[in-house]
This record gives sequence, structure tokens and C-alpha cells, in this order.
Amino acid sequence: MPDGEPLTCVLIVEDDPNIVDLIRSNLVVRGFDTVVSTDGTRALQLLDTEEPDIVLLDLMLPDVDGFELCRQIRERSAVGVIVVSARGGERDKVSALNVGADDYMTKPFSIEELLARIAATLRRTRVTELGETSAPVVLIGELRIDLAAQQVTRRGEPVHLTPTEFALLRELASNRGKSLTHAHLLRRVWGTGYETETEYVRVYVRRLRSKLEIDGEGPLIITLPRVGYRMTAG
Amino acid sequence: MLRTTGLSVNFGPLRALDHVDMCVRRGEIVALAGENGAGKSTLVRCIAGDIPPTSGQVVINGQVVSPDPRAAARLGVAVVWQDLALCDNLDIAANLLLGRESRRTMFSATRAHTHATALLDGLGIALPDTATTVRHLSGGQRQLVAVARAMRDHPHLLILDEPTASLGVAESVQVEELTATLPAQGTTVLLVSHDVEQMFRLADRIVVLRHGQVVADVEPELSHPDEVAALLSGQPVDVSARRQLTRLHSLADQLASAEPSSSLSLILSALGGALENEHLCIHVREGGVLRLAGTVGVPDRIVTAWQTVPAGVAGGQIGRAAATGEEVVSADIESAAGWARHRHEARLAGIRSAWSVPFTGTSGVTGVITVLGGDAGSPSRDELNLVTVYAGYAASALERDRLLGELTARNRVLETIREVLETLAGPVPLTDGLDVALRALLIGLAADEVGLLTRSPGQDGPSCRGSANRGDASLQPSFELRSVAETTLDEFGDLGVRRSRSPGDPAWSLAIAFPAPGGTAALVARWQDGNPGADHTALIEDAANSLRLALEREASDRIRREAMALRSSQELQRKFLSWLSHELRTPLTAIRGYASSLLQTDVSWDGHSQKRFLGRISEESARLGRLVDDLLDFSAIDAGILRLHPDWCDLALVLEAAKACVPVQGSGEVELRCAVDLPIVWADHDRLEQVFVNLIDNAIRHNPPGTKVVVEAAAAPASTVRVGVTDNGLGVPADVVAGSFATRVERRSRTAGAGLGLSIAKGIVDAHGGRIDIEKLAAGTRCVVDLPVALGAPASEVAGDA
Repeated sequence: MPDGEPLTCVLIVEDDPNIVDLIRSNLVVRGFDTVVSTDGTRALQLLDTEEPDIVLLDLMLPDVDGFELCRQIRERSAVGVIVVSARGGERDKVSALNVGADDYMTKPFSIEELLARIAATLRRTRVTELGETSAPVVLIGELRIDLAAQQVTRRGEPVHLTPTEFALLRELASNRGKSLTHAHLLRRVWGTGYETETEYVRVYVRRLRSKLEIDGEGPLIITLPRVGYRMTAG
Repeated sequence: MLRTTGLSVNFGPLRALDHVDMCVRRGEIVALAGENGAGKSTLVRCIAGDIPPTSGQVVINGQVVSPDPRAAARLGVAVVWQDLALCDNLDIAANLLLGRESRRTMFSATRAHTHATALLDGLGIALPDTATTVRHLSGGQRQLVAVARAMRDHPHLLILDEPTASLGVAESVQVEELTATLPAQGTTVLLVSHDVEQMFRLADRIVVLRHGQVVADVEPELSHPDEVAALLSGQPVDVSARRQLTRLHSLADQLASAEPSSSLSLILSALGGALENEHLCIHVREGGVLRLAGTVGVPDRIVTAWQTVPAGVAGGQIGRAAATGEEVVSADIESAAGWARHRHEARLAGIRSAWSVPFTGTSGVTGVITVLGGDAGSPSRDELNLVTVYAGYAASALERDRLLGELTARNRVLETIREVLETLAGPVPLTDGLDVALRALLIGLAADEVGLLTRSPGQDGPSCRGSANRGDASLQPSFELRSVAETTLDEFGDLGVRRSRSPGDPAWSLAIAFPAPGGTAALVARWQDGNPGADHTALIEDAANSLRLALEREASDRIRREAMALRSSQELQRKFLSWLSHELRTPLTAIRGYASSLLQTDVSWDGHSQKRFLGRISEESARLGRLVDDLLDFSAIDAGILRLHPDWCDLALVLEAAKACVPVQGSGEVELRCAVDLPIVWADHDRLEQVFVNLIDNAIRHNPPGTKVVVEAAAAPASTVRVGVTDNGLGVPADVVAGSFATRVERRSRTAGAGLGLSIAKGIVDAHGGRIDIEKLAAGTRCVVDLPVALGAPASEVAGDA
């Protein structure tokens, strides 16, 4: 981390002290700032007071259902959320993504994996990358996507998207009319190493559709079965 | 579309058709009726161009038909002759396409069959494979093939010559159904027939030919088959007789839908209309008297006098008619016997004659119809016959009422049984409801004993599901009833009714076997005296049906409950696995995480950190080890293979050791109070220590810091020792109290959050022959462990040692 910039703040929501120490030691030594909560209530308070850049959320907490906590975090903030769970099943993964998680990490994990997922999520959720595209504003029907300002309006009404949702929308909108494979979207939006996590794209495309598509109009994002997705050209 | 004008045909001196003028409109089905020799065939052959008319002409769609079958065919006339003209040695397809083989179909059997199938499908005709040889078809099927062939070129007019003359009822129906659809296909039908009923079913109009002349052109809706039959035979139509018939038909219709109480009045007023007489009454027999059941226009005084009339001579002409079963006619009441008492009233009412006609039901004379006349004189034979006919209706109406009454009574019993059975679906266990249902059946049948027995395959004797009897002393069904049930099940399996009277036993029994879930059931009723009849059989059959449904519902309820239990147990197991996964993966994560931290090349950890990491790895490994031990213990207990190594041990020492094992934040939180006279116990020291470590640990771990745990041990009655572990913490939730140590499945789930500790503690205490209970206190929780002083050792030996 270069000096002078504010430190990246990680909120760790975890009730096992040894896991907390493990994560904290490794993040602090690499220049991150950390705050810790062992329960859900405190986690929501810290979210407001500390404004963390990223949340590491353990699903098994003593006082609150982890999925519910994730949903509440997502209601209050667009912060990147990595869910940490002892359960590796597809169902839990999809459930977590559905309630707004950006990534899902299964215990036990290695330090390399932890660092890589934090870096990928931060890259996606930070408003940094500009000027990648030739057309900074994309108009599709009554939908207006301002790629530069990261703002979307539908019939003039602003639509709130999480950074991951916007990153996916940007990738699709910058390549309107082109078919994009699952692997391409995963690599571009989530990062290298995520190419096989097809559920991520599915869940996020579904969320984009529910936020952006208007009943009665044609589909905005076209599913190419077993291949990927394409944003309509007109 | 077809018109004949002045059509006449002579065969030598014989005039077959005599100036026939008829027409058939597009889309009609017109029946051509006539007796043999009436000229039907000649007319059809003329229309088909088969024979030339002597005079007159046939016009089809405005064109005169020349006497040439091909000319008629060109005008769209097709005929299915009575002999069908099918080729028996060819298949259906070949017959259908006969004479119309195109080059395409001639050389391709497949095409021919496809074509034929399409033709049949289009007409909605279901026939076997089109490759079937016509010889093998039934008469009806052959007729259908012939019609299909005639329909092949979509004729404007199809003439069917006696299409069902040689067919049975079922086959006729097929042909009639097909015929009725033809107008919808754009084909007008001329149906030659002598079946009057058929014409009434199918035709829009009926043209009647007689002696070569059209004698009538009637519409079925405005006519009656009898009328057409009369026209055919040339008999004069008796309009009044027809009216009587119509009246009777409509009476029959009304009676079918009338309320039982109104049927006699209906009959009486219809008879009044038929006789054109407005003074009638009807009496119904009730035992020795005849009661007035309905009147039309009878003077009030006579109504009063005739309310009840004794059967026999004392009852005047009505009584005599009832007693003798013969008509009694008083041609002139001035001189007739039995009128002395009512002559005055009759005279005042202008009545001069009277005739009474009795009617009989299953049990002899059931009533009398009396007609009062204004003039002296006897009725004509026809009039008497007419009254007899209506009397017959009255008799059947009474019989119907009686049956309905019985049915209602039976329905009431069945309704009771059904209601009882409905309540079975509620919280009342089946056995109770079954007994009530059987009691209702007992009363309904007027039987002395009823019982329901079931038998499953491989079972020796049937088992009793319920019974009811007159004497309430014995609740069990009698031996006789059981043996009847067994015989019935042996004889019929799952379907049959048996009415029997075993040798040496005066009681009759009625038994019905029916299928029941998982086997068969028999419903048996017994009568000490009295003989079950058809009604009893019908009632027991209905009851068996209801009971079968009840048994099936019971079985399906049981299956549903089992499925629910299975689902909830699967849910519990899923939760347990989820918890276990978390418990195993968390220490693994720490171990792997700390190890991989130390291996990272991008950072160098100071000595302090390195030491801390290694400490954590060791700590987490120990935690994982304990969990694996717990899991193994749990599995051993679950599988019933927990091994104890008992010895005499001092409980105080066990509790001290346990207290020392529990990592407490700050001392003094666990207090030990051991009675001085605490007996030593025969137990596995290490296992008991594990029990109390788990209990103390549980009390501390699930309560806020600062919670005080008190462990008390003292001798208890019946050579036991009681140890209480009490905390003043938050207390466990009520459901956890209820289920902590309960069943296997519940134990797994409820204590899952608290680790396996409580389950293992219970398993170990159980293995020692003791028991463990958990109770919620006003503040906190108390676990009580009762242990026998000696595990399997005699009490005296223990006393000596102590």
C-alpha cells in the first residue's frame, strides 16, 4: 500500500478468536486496516461508523443468520462482501450471492486464496477504472447507462447498482450486440481464477434483469444457453 | 336439392310409384318410410338413375337426372345398397379406393393405406388396421366401410338403403352415429328404413310411402312413432287413443320427477283428464282399512264419509273392491248395494253411478280408485281398462314411495355411520370412532352383534378392529362371529357376501368381505333370532364401503405421518451435518491458515508472531482432536458399543478432576460441594469425569462471564448418588429442556449447537445404569445426574464395602 493514501479497511465478522487473529495478522502485516465484530448487531454498527472497503462475513454466527446479515449489509451499503462459510454446496453459494454477496469462500482456505479474493473484490468495487470505453454513455430504450459517472437511470429514475452489478453491466454494455462467454465475463468482472464460477454470472445477470428490464419490453440481456450472454444492440 | 315431380313407375300392370312428389332440402336427413312393396326401393333406384320413370322426373340441384347411374353419380348422388357390394377378399384400404385407384395409390400400398386412414379419420370412423381383410369385419364395420366408400367423393346426396336392417343394437348405434354426422360434412342423407324408432332418432323429416304414394310427410318433433306406424300400415289413426297415450307418457315423465307425496294426485288428475270425468277419488289400504289419499271433484259430504273405509262388505263398494280384488260397478246408486248411508249425499251432489277399481302391489290389494258418474249406467270396457292402467301407475307409485321410505331410513343409518367416520379424520383415534360407527350399524341392522375384523397375508386368524353388541358386558366379539369372519375371508378373499346359519347355532349371520389396506377385512353381523333380508345385505354392503374408506384413510394418515417424521428427521440431520461441518472446518481453517501464513514469502513474521502462530496451530489441533474424540464417542454410544472400564471410584475426586479440566476465566466460578458421607461408586472414572466436564463446560460456555456453577453431590435413596450441576445463568430455552436428552434424532439436533457434550454425557450415564435430567430454573439451569452406587453389583456387597 503506498503511503499517503488512506488504508483499505476490512470489516471481519467472525466469532472464532483464532480465525480473527489469523485474518487480522495477515491483513495488518500487508498494510490493511481491520475492524472486528463477533456478532451481527455490532457488524452493522461498524459498517456505519467505520465505512469499511470490504466485509469478510462468516455465515455461522451465534446470534444471527448469516444470509440475513448479508442481506441487511447489502440494504445499507454497496460495500464488497465476501462470504466465508464452512459449507461448500452450490445451494449455499447461490443463496449467498442472491442476498448480495460479491464472492463466496469455503473453509478451510489458504492465505493466498484469502488475499486473492480480497484483491479481486476490491478491484471490482472501487471506482477507479475510467475511460476504458469509447462511448461513455449508453442508451438502450429508456435505459441510460453513464459508464464514466457509474450511474444508471431507467425512465429517468436512478437505479442503484452494487459495484459488482455495475461492473458486469459495464462489460455487457461496452460490448453491445456481442456474445460474451461465461468465462470471459467472469475473468473481466470477478478476475482471473474465477472462470469456472458460472453461478456467479447467473445470479448477477438475474439481479441486473430484475433491476433494469421493463415488463413488456424485449429482453435487455439475452441468454445464450450454455455459452454466455449478450446485451441487446438496440 | 332433390325434387321428384309426378314420378310414376309401372312394372307391367303393376304401378310401383304413383305420382310421387317429394323433396329433400340441403343438409337434411330425410327418412323414407314404407312397408315392403310400398315403393321405397323403386323410388331410390329412380333417383339413382337405375331405372327410368314411366312419367315425371327427378331433379337434383336443378338438373334433371337421366336414367343412367353414372349421370346421377356425376350430379353427386351416392348410394349404399343393402348388399354393400364390398369385395370380401380385399382389405379395407382396397375396398375404400376400389374403382378410384389413382396411379399414386395403385403402386404404393403405403400411400393407399395412408389415404384410406385419412378418409376414415375424416369421418371419425374407428376401424382396425386398414390392412384388415373385409371378410374379417363385423356387419357393422362392413357397413361403416361401405358408407366411407360412398363418402369418398363427397357426394351431395347419400342414399342409405336399410343401413341397419341386419345389424345388432350396438352396431346399429355406430352406424346411426356416423349417419348423424354426415350433414356436417356437407352431405344430405336420404335414409330408407322401416325402423320407425330409428327415423325418430335421426331424421329431420319422415316421408311415408304406401302403395306407391306419398301418404304423409311429417316432422318427428310434431308426431309420435305410433302415428307413423299407423300411417305405414294404413290403419286409421285414432286421435283420442293417441291423446291418451300422450297423456300416459307425460304422466310417466311427471311421476318420475314428482315428490312421492304428490304422485297420487297427479295420477288422479291425469285419469280425470283421460276419462273426461271430474269426480274421482283414490283410497290406499292401510292394514284393514282404506284411507282416502286423494280426491278430484268429490262432494265434501262423501269425502268426509269416505275418509276411512273398512275393507270388506262393511266398506261399501270400495271395501268390496279391496276385499275381492275385482272391479265393483254400481250402475245406479239408487238401487246399488252399500249406498244406503250415502245415497242422500250422492243424490244432492248429482251422482248416479260409481265404479271402483282395485289395484295390487307386492302385498295384495294396495288401494282402490273410484269414479263417480253423473248418469246411471255401467262404464264401457275401454273406460274400465283405462282406469286399470292408471291404477297400475298408482300401485307402482305407492310401491316407489314405500321403497323410498325404506331407503330414507337406511340412508339415515348410513348417514350416522358416515358422520361418525368423518369425525375419525379429526383428533379422535380411529378405534373410538370405529366403535361408535359399529354401534350405529348394530342399531341400523337390528342385529345382536357386529364386528369388523381384518387379516393381512401370512396372518393366521383375523384380528378384531372393533365390535358392538347388545349386551355391553363383553367387549370382544363372540367366537361364532370370529369364525364366520374367518370362513368368509377364506371363501371370498376380498369380495363377497355370505349369509349363513351354522349347524347347531340358531343365529343367522351376514358377513361381507372387502379389501382393506394391507390385507382383507370382514364386516360381520349376527342375529340370535330373525333372519337378515335383502335390506340388511344392502345396508351392510354400504357400511362396508364406508368402513373400507375409513380404513384406507387411516392407513394413508399413518403413511403421511411417517413421511413427515422422515422429512423432519432429514431436516434435523441436515442441520446436524451443517453444524458438524462448521465445527470441523473452523479449526482446520485456523491450522491451515496459520501454517500457510508462516510459509508466505512476501512477509517476514517476527519471532513473537511465529511463536503465537505455532501455539495456535497446536491449540486448534487439540480442539480438532477433542472434536474427533467426541464424534467417536458419540458414534459408539449411538451404535451401542460404548465400553466402560469400571472400578470403585470416589466421586469427589472425579468432580475435582472435572472442575480442573474446564478452562475458566478467573477462579472461583465453579463451586464444588460434596457430602461427607458420599459413597464410593462402581463406575468408569474417566468416563464419569467426561460427563461432568461436559456438563460444567456447557454451563459455562453458554452463559455470560461471571456465571456461577455449583456442583453438589450427595447420597440419595435406593442406593444411588445424586449430582446436581446448577448455574445461575440465562437458562436453556424450554424446547432444549424438553428435548436435550430425548430421542436419538432430537438429541442430535437440539444439542447440536451446544456440541455433542450433552448427548455423550447422557450416553455415558445411561451405560452406567443411571439417568440424567435437565430442568429450567427461575434463574439458570440445573442438570441432575443419578447414578447407582454399584453397577450390577449386589446392594449388600456395596454396603459392606462402604
